Amino acid sequence: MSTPLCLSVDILRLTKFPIYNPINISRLPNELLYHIFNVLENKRDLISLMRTCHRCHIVGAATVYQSVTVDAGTKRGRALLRALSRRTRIGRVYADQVKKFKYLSPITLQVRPREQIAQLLVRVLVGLRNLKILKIWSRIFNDSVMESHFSRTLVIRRRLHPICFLDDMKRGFSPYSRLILPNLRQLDVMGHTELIRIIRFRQRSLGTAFCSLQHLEIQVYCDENAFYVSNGNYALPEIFLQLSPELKQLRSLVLRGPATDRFLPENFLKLLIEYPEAYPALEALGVNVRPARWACECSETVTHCHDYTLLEEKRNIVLQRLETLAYSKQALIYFRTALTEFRLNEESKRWCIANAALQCPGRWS
Amino acid sequence: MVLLLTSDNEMFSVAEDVIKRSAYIKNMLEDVGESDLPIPLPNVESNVLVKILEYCEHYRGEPLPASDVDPAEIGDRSLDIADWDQKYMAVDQEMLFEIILAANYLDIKSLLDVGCKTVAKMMKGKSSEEIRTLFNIANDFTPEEEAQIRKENAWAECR
Repeated sequence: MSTPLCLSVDILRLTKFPIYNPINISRLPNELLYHIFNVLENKRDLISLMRTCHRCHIVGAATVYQSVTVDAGTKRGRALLRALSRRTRIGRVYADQVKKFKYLSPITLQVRPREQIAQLLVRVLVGLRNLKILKIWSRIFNDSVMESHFSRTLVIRRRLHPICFLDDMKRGFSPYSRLILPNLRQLDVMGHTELIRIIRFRQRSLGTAFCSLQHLEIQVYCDENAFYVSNGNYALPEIFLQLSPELKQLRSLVLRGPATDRFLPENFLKLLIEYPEAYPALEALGVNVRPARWACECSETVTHCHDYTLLEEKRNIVLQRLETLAYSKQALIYFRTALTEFRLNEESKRWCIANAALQCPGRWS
Repeated sequence: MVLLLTSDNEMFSVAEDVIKRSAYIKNMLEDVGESDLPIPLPNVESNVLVKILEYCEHYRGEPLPASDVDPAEIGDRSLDIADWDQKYMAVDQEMLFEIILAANYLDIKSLLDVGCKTVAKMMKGKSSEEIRTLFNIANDFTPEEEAQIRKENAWAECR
């Protein structure tokens, strides 16, 4: 008869003293996970973490190899890049060019078959911040194996660092070139679908545009003829149309692309296209989002954004105008707070504020 | 003094030189100038802000770390944590997690770094399974994928 008493004591103990309350790491955004990976000093710990789930695997891979730096401006650096891309004996491949290369020695590389090297290089490239080097890689990768891995790299880069997307484009990496198209099929093979939250569009006659909707868990490539979905299937238009009303609406906007010379900066445009759900909140804060809605229709502006000089000139003009505007401090505080939610960097935030002030000065006075 | 309004509607009045450790607040103040209006912190609860302010107060007067420096870039992969920081981080996991998120939101790089190092230390020497249990990570690998990853990483294990 003592069992009920023991049981109740156990229940009491469990209720009163929760001994284990794990944090839910899934709430940590990628950037923080990336940060944690960065401070892990032991490769075994790092690999252990990478093996826990898909997301950790991807972020970890990017972290491991992001510390690799190769100086592509030197003869030796370029030789290294070429050497790594071939299956040929690498020999002593200028180890001094490969700084902090803790996890993979050049000697390890040389005995690896081409496919394995390519897989490893994808991770190197994902983490590389120097886009000049990335471009050199793109030239080196002129066979099908390397090309496909390079395509995957661009896809992963944009997924991990969305802001890289426009940078890549500005530097001449058209992510929707033919290079990418056949390789979207590989995304499922890579097992990265849980990270796929970006929807992209391209409409050749109107230049390049892209849209992101965080709440949709699928990636779509679109051209005049068909849609390609990130789960590896070539999707028929009717499948695409089943996705969501928002997507349909955006598609029609992008395809319609009304002629306009209205200029919007890249980040503001990105912000607006990425977060249409933010419009009501911004409106409630007194921001006139009507010009923003027009921005979605204005794919031409994206093309303008490719011209960085133009962007700079416009930015300066807008910033000068902002100084002359008398805006409400409270509106500014709340607008900034809202922008923080979008994880933009400080410069982008200021740019958005400037642009909002330009578009709707009356609202800010 | 700067007024901060937390997500649970608590108002804090904080000395400017204390809270300026937050790059977010610092930039906000630079943009807005002098103002009596509270700065809303919709992602930070009052109990977390108290902890954050404790950190900022402790390091009051110390030079701010250079902004935009990625620890990975400067090669700081050490898990060494200062004594005071270790004591500061001796909180339950939930609070640790909240501190990291708040440090990220408020852009306090040094605190974010300490938080991440603390989490990294918790992972040290643990297997994938132990890390999953510790951090509540769902294993979304198929057995085939797991085998593939094991194969891919074999080179790292044998060295």
